[in-house]
Amino acid sequence: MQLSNVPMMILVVDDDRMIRLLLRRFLESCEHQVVEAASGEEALTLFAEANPDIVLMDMVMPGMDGIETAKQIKKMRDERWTPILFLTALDNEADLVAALSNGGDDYLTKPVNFPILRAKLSAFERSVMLNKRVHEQSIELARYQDRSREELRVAQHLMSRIVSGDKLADPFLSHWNSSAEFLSGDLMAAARTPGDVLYVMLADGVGHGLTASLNVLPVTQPFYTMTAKGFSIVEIAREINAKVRQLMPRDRFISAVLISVDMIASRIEVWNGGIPKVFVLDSSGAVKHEFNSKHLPLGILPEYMFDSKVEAYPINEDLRLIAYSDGLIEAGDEGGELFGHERLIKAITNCDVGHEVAAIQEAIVEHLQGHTHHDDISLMVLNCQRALFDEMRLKAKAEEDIVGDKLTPGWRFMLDLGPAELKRVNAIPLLIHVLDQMNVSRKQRSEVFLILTELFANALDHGLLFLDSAMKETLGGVDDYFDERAKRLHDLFEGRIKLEVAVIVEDGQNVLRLDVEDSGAGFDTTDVPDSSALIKVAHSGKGIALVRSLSKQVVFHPPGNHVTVDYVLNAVKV
Amino acid sequence: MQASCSFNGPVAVVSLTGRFDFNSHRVFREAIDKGLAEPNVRQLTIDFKSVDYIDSSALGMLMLLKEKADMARKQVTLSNCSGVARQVLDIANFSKLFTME
Repeated sequence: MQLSNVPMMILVVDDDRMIRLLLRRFLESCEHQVVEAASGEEALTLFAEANPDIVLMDMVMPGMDGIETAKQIKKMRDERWTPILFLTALDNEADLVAALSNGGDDYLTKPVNFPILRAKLSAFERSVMLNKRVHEQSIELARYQDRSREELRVAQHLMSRIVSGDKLADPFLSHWNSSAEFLSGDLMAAARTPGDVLYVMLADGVGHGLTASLNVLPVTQPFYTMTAKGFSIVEIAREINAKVRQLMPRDRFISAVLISVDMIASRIEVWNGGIPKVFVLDSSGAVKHEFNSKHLPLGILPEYMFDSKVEAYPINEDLRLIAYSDGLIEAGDEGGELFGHERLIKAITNCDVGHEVAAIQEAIVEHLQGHTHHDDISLMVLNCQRALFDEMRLKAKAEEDIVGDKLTPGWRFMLDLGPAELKRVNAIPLLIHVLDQMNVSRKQRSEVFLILTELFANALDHGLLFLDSAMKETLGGVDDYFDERAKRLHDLFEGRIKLEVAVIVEDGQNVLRLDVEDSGAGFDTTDVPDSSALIKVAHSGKGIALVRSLSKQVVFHPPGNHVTVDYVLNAVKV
Repeated sequence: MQASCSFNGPVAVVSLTGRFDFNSHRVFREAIDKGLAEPNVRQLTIDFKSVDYIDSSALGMLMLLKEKADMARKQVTLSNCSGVARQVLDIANFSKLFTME
C-alpha cells in the first residue's frame, strides 16, 4: 500500500519516557518532526511554541489527564483544526466514547501497532494539509483585506481633496454625485478663466471604485491649471487626452464632456467625448438644444488624430444646461426599466429654476424604489442667468484688490509669431502669465485678458485668415465660422502676428499699453464701432466695442493692421 | 457572459451571450486569444447578437482587443450591435475605431 508522506510536526504527550522514545523513533523514520511532552501541563506550553499539526495523547497521566489536556488544546486553537489521537490501554467502550466526544479525533490502543498508526496518520495528513492551507489563505485574505482597506482610506482622502466640493462652488453651478462603491469613478470640476468664462468638466472613467477613480486623477490638474491660464476647452481636452494616453493602459480611457459658458460673448461651447447628450433648456423647461457625444473618449486617439471640433450655441436668453454620467439614465428599477431621458426632462420641466438637482434626485429615488444603483451617478446643472452674471461682476468690482506697490513702469514684453507658432501656441495664456508675474490684480487681469483675446482674434481671423464676421449672423453660423477658421488656420503658410505689452507712465497714471500688429492688409479704420454700439451689434464689431468700453483709448493705425490699446492700471504714487 | 470562438475561413467569429461587463474579462480574453492565435485569421468579428447589456469596462476590453489585433495585423469588426449595446457604442463613438456591420 502506498501511503502519502508529507512531513508533519507531531506532538507526543505521554508520561512514560520509553513510549515517547519508541514513538519518536518510528515517527522520525517516517520523516515527521517530533516534540515530546511528559505531562498535560508541558503539552500546553509546547503546543503553543511548536505549533504541531497533529497530537498523540496518552489518556491516563498524573496531573492533567489526556481528556482535560485535549479540551484545553482545542480551546487554544479554535480557528485551525488539529487532530488529536488518543493512545489508550483501555478497551473500555465507555471511556473511548468519552475520549472521542471530548475533543479526540481518533484513538489507538496500546501497545501501539505501528502500521496502523502510520495508516491513521496518513489519513489525517490530507485533511491536516488541506486545513492548513485554508487557514493560511484566510490569514492572507485578512491581511489583504486590511491592506485594501488602508489603500481605500488613503485613496478616499486623496480623492476628496482633489475633487473637493469647494472647487465646485460657482453661482451658476449645482451638482450631485453618488457613487456605486466607496469611491466614484466619476469626476466633476468647475473653474473660471481670467476672462470670467465658466468651464465645467464631467469625466467618467472605465469601471468603478478604486481603479476607476485612479483613472480620473490625471484629468484634474490640467483642467484647473489651464483654465486659470485662460486656455480654451479644446486645448484642455487635447492636453488631457495626451496625458491619459501617456499614463494609462489602453483600456482605461475616460469619457468626458467639457463645457464653456461665456456670458460676455454670449456663447456656450461643448466638447463631448463619450458622455450622454447634454441638454440645453430654457426657463420653462423646453429643450432648446442637445449636445451629443461627437468624439471618442479621452486617452484613445494619438495626438495627431485628436479631434478638436467644438459645438457652439448662442445665449440669447437665460438657459439651463444639464450634464450627467450614464449612471443617471441607466439607473434601473426592479423590473430593470432604466430612468432614461424622458423622466430626466420631465423632472426639470416640473421644477422651479434653481431646484433642478433636488427634483432629479427625487425622481431617481422614486424610480429606484429603494434599490441601489450599480453605477456612479454624476449630475451637473448650469444656470446661465444674465442677472446672476451681472451681480457677480459687480461684486468682483467691489472687491477690487489693491494693486501691489511693486508694479513698476518701464518694462516691455514682445511676442512675434509665425504660421507654425500660430497653429500650435495659444499666445494669450502666455501673456497673462507674464502679467501675473508683474503684480497686475486679478480683476485687471481678467479685463486685460478680454482685450487681448479680442485683439488677437481680430488679427488672426480677419488679418491673416480673411474670415468675414457676417458669417456668424446666419443660423448655425457660429459653428460654420469656427469650422472654417480651423480649416484655414490648418492651411496657413504665411503671415505673422506681433504682440507687445508694456507698462508706461502717462498723465500721472501707470498704463498698460497693448500693441497687436498683423501682416495682413488691414481694413477701413473709419468704420470701427464705438463703445455705445455694444448693445446694437450682434457678433461683428461687438468685440471692439467691448475693448473700447474697458480701455482708456483704442487707436487703429492705418492701414488697419495695427492697433494700440491703453489700459489704466493705477495712479502713480507720488 | 459566455463567449465562443468559431472559424470561418480567414474570419474568426467570437459570439457573445449575456451581459458584457466588468465580470467578463477572463471569458472574453480566452475567446479572442483563440482567434488572435490563428495565423491564417485576417479578421475577428465580435458578434453582439445575444448581448443584452454592455458597460464601459466592455469598451475597455474592446480597446485592448484592438491593440492586440493591430499588432497581429488583423481587422476587428463588431456585428449585430443593437439596443443598449448599440447606444453605449454610439455614445463612445466606437464606429470611428471599428468597422460596424
